[in-house]
Amino acid sequence: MRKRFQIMSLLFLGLITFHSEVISQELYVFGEPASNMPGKSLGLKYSLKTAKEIGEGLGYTSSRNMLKAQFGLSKKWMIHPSVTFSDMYASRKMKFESFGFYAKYRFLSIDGIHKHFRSALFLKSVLSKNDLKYEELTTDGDHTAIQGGLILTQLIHKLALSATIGINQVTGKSKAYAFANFNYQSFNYSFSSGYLMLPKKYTSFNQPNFNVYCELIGSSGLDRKVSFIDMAPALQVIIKSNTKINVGYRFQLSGNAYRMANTGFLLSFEKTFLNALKK
Amino acid sequence: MCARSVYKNLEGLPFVDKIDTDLNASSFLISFKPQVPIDLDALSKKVQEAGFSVAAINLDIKVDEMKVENDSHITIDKNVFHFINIKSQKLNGNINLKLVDPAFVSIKESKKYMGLTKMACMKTGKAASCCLSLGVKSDTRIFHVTI
Repeated sequence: MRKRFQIMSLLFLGLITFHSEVISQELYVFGEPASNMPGKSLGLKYSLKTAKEIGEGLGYTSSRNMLKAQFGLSKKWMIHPSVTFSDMYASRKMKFESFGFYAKYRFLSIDGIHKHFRSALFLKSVLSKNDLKYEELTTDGDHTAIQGGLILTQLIHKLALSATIGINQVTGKSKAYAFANFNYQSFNYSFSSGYLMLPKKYTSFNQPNFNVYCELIGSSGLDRKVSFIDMAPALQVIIKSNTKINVGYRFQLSGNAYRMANTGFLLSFEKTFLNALKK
Repeated sequence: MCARSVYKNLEGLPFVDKIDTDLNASSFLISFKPQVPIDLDALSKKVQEAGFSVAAINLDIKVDEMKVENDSHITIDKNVFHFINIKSQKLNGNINLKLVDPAFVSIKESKKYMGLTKMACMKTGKAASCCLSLGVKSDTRIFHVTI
């Protein structure tokens, strides 16, 4: 009986509906979402950060260039090795400064219609040539450190909200720096929001996406009572689903930490190569 | 908006003829090549490889006087389909089947359908003792569908 239908029937159309691992308004300019980039893809990112110095180099505007490779190993794992060059700290000459390694494991993924929730764990380690000089603990290359934490990201239609918490520990030679009473451990956190402004309606892959972001980035010292909180608005254009241009500005809302700078720009350019890591 | 990666992945499959996109609904309408064996698991795999997950797969099939019963198996273009949660009926013309195996819907939805059949093949997707009595060879891939 089965055989008869085999001849008479014809399978001709399939409709696949899918959930995205990541959507464009989650691609925060300052922070990182819990969502991963597409599996087996490669991203190359260049970013330029400026700092209007208020610390030792009062009045000097220094900058840091970062080159980062982003590997989407699978849908759950991604790694970002990076290097930085800056004229920050003693030399005032643009030179190699640090090597960083970031790994993210997305362990939770709940999909709905026009909404999703993702959660990830991350670890970032930085080896830097700089000595610890300020009370702001980063993993950008300012000093040798390790940071681990948790990211929670919720998408609700065109709005993407994300929270990140982490502990930053200064490690290695920076600890030998002359100040005895220094901040070596901090609780770092950020709240990011992203909103898709354009397109209002999708008609092709080639439509540029235009996103606006507002992020709050803060830190509290765990061994000394120093803290700050910054606000960071940013704009982003995504061209052909694979090229991103980001412009952001970060400024301090309040704080008592001794920092290199409490205002600065962030410009970045990123290109994603889909299926680049496929055998 | 990286749905382009899914598109690229699906485009490479040998049985895919044409893909129409509906980006607002996050879906692709795929036309299959006639005479080329269709691998439904490959569709799901390609979507996942692109970093996406499958929310639903619906199949359009043209049939002529096809008699279907609940918990019965039918071979269509060399794929064995197991019908779940349907009434006994005769199907004619263009029909729409919804795949309900774990790889093609959310885990929650798939569990709902698992509760609607006692047959073991729903859990593994492979022919179990329940199917052998219906003349299906052991270890045959069974796709679970509803109308």
